[in-house]
Amino acid sequence: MAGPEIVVEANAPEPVYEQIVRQIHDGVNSGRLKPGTPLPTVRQLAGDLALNRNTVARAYKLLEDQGVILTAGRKGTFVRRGATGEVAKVKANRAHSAMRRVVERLMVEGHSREEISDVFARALRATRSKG
Amino acid sequence: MTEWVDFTVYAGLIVALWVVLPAWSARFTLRYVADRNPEWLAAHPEVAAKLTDGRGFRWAYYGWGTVSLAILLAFQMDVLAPMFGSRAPGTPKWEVLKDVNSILLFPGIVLFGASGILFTRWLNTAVPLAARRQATLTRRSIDDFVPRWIQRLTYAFIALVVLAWIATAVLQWPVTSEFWGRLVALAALSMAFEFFARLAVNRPPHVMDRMFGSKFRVSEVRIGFAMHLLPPVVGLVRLYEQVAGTELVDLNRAMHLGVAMLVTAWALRFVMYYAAIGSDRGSKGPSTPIDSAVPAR
Repeated sequence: MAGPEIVVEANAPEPVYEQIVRQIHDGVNSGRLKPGTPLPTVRQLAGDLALNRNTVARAYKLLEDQGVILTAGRKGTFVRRGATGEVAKVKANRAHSAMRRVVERLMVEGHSREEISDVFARALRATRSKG
Repeated sequence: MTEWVDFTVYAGLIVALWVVLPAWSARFTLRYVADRNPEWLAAHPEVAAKLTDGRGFRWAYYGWGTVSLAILLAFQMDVLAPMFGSRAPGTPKWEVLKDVNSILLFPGIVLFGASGILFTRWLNTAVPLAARRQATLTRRSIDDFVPRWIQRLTYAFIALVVLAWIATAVLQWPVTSEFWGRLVALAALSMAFEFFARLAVNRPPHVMDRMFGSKFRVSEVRIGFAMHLLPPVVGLVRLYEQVAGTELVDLNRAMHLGVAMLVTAWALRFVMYYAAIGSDRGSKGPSTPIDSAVPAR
C-alpha cells in the first residue's frame, strides 16, 4: 500500500512546489512511480504535508504541462504513459537553458567560440577527475 | 440479565476514561508536541518536563473517577434513590444505572474537552510547525482498506433493510407511531457511519499514525466501516417489533451497553498500541525524530 515518500523543507531556498516537482521527477526516473500509478489528490497531499492547496496545485499544474502526469477528472491524477521520456526532455531542456545562459554571458565578456569550447572541455575534465 | 452486568460495563468505562487514559496521557501529550516539531521540543526540555509531570491534571481525573464509581455503586446497592427522570415508578434498574452513568460522564467529558481545547490552542500558538514534512505519494481510497465486495454487500444489506421498512409502510401493515422516526434514524445513522469511515480514509496523517504505523488507520477505517452493520441489524429487529407489536430483545439496554463497551475498547486500544511500541523500542532504540525528541522516562 505504501508508495514512495516525499519530503519537503519549508525553509529551503528551493520553492516547495519545485521540491514536489523534482521528487516526482525522481520517482518517475527511478521507476518507483510507474506509468498509470495514481497520485494523491491535491487536497490529500496538501493536507498530509500541511501545505496550502495552491502550492500543491501549482506543482501538479507544472507536472501536467510537462506531460509527466495526467488529471482525469473525478478518476484522479495519474503518472502518464511515457512520463520517463518527458522527464528526460525536461531535464535536457533545463540543462540546455543553463548552458545557453553561461555561453551568452561568456560571449558578452568577449570570449570566442573556440575559447568557450576549450573552457567547457577543461571544466568537464576537472569534474571527472573529482569523481 | 442481572444489573451487575450493567454496573460492570459502566464501571469499566469509568476506569478506562478517568484512570487508565489519564495515567498514560503524559506520554501521548509529549508525542503530540514532538510530532509537530521535534527540534523545538528538544530545545525546550523545561516544557517536556512540565508536560511529563501534569500531576494536578491526572489527580483531578482519578478523583472524578473514584467519585463516579462510588456513586454508581451506591445506586447499584440501592443506597441512593433514583433521581430525575428515573424516579418514574417501574423504571428498571438498568435504566437508572444508565442515566446515572450518563450524568457522571458529563463533567469528565467537559473537563477532558476543555483540556483538549486549551492544549491544542497552546500547541498551535507556542510550537511552530516543523520545516521538514513528509508524506507518501499514495492516493488513499476506501478500497485500500475494505475490499470492494464487502462494501457492496454492506450497502446492499442497508438498502434491503430500508426497502423492507418502506415496503411495510406501502403495504400499510399496522405499525406504531415511532415508525417514521425510527426509519429516519436508521437512514441518518447509516449516512453518519459512511461519513466517518470516509473521514478516517481522507484525514491527514497525525501523531498516532506516525507512532503506530499504517495499521492504526487500517483498524480505524475497518472498525468505522463495520459500524455500518449496526443500523441495519437494529433496523431489522425494530421492524419486527413494529410489525409484530412485541419486543424481541431488550434492544435499548443492549445498545447502551454496546456503546459503553465500544468506548472502553477505544480508550484501551491507545494504551495497548503504545505499550506494544514501547516494548519494541526497548530493543531497537529510537527510530524517528519523535522518539529522539521525547525524553526517556
